[in-house]
Amino acid sequence: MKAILAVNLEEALTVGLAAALDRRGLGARLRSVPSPKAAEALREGSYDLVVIDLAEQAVPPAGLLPALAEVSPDTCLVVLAGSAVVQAPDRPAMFDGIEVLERALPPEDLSIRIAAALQRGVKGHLENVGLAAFIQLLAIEKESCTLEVRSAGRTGTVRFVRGDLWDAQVGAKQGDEAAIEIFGWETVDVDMSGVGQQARRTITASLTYLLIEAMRRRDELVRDQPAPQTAARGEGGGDRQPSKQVTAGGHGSAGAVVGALIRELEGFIAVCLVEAATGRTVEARTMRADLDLELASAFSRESLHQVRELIGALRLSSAMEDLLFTFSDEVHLIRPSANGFFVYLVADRAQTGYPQMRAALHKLWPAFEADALSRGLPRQAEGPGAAISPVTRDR
Amino acid sequence: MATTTKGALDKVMELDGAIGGCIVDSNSGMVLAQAGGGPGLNLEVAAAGNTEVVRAKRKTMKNLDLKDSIEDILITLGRQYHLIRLLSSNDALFIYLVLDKTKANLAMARMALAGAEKDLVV
Amino acid sequence: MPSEKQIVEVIDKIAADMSGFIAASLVDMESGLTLGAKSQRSDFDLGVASAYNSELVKQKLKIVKALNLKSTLDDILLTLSDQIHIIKMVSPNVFLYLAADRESTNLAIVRTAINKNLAGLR
Repeated sequence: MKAILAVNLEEALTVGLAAALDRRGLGARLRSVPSPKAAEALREGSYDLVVIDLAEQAVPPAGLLPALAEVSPDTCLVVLAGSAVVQAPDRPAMFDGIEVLERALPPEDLSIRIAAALQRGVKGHLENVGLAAFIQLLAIEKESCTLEVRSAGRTGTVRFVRGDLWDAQVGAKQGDEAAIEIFGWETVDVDMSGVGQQARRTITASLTYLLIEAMRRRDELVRDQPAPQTAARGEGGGDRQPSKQVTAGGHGSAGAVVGALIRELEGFIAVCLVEAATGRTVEARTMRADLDLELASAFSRESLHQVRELIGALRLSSAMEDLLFTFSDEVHLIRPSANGFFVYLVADRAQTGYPQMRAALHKLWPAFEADALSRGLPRQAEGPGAAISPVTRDR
Repeated sequence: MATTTKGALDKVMELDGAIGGCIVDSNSGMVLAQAGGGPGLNLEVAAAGNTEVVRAKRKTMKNLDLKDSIEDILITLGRQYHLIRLLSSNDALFIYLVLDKTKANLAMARMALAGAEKDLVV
Repeated sequence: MPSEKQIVEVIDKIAADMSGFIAASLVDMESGLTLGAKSQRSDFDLGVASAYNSELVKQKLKIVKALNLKSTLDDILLTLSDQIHIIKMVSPNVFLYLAADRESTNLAIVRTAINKNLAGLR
């Protein structure tokens, strides 16, 4: 049974609304108050949703928003604005459950909007999810929510605001590091709730980067478990430790190759190995969190396509060796392989250049190609392949 | 990689009479690392030009159907020696070294280059 | 902006500083106009190449913005098995496109030739 606070609504509307919600199977307890009493009512009871008719006012009555923030930040707010221009609260991230509607909605339609708003604010529980896939879904659908994530006795919190990863906490960690740890958990139970009050944003890296990094570290743990001979490769090489990243590779020899690349190429920034036909990223690593590798690899696929078109249009019988973009501070190199993959390599122009990048790739190319070929098999699904069906949205 | 290429070059530059040296990618003609040089010797221009020397020699060998590989190329000028040594680990790369004829010992230089290139696994 | 005649003169100078010159054009992306062009080979469709490259550059600049790169594009280099194609940004809206035969030259030489004469195109 949902609790709804109706502020300043005409009686006819309130009655009609209650009936309509009932018909929808959404039993709701409606309490009706005049505007001056709204803040007080909020502090007295707990409500899932507040619907307010602004009438001729431009802003909600004084005290209502602060009360909402203080008492029940998870409460949805539906504002009937009519002809007035609504002043948005100056911290919109706080109230992503706000809906602003034209006034003259019949009760039936209003009930639909309220039902939708209520379901968005649902507290849901997901069991046994493939967390990475679910996280990406939240991003795509621009969701705002708080996830309490539990796995094997550990608990962490993840917050999304309109599809952006906002905050993550686990134990004493907060921000990017916490997100990376949580995303690496295998089987999780998730409790989903409203986003609530926003603290400052603690996440600085892109979601793609955090997910990739989480997978890489998790795979490393798995890889390092068996025999001690793994100590021989990867780690330990080199006087040079890149500022942020561990040098050892992720899974397979492509991972080791990437690790070697990072050690060898001064000014290394990022690399991805992509299957040209499908755009599937076989391996990716970046030193710079703000570089969106997904976008970059899509960009390179497109460039390759354009080059092929150019070659065709000019009726050349040439094969493409590589494509280099020189920017004011970076160099980007795209090099296709003979067997349908390509490498996209980004480096710092101040520290290195085209010939060094070519030389580094030349050394590692055979291993890259071999690994890419061997990984032509379809990827295993992450985690226990649970359906992503988010918590029952219908009630 | 850069530490090894720079290190190898610095070592070779210790030779008597060494004026300048660089490691060059013969595919692009571009320089991976350089040492010495100066107003009298523009290493980048030299690298680009000498790339054509290496490529020309390779082409000639191909035309002659010589199934062999180039170890080094020596060009003797009036006042300088120009030595080109191909890298065995990556034959797209070569070391280019310019020596003052009056001060250099060619045999030593050749040996030093051979040693340097062996250590350079680029 | 130099005149078409002046532009072609500069292209001639660039061609003289290298071997293997195939064709070159100076293109204004905004208007789509070719400000000056020269081709050494009748079988190389310079017009088509310039049009394609205009699109390529525009795309790149769009994506640079999307990727939020705070850097500017200097040049694009396409290495084919037998040709080199360079797109050099002369100004934010104008680029020089040059195609060369790899048989007789290398990237470093071409780049040097272009950079040496670039001022004449601005």
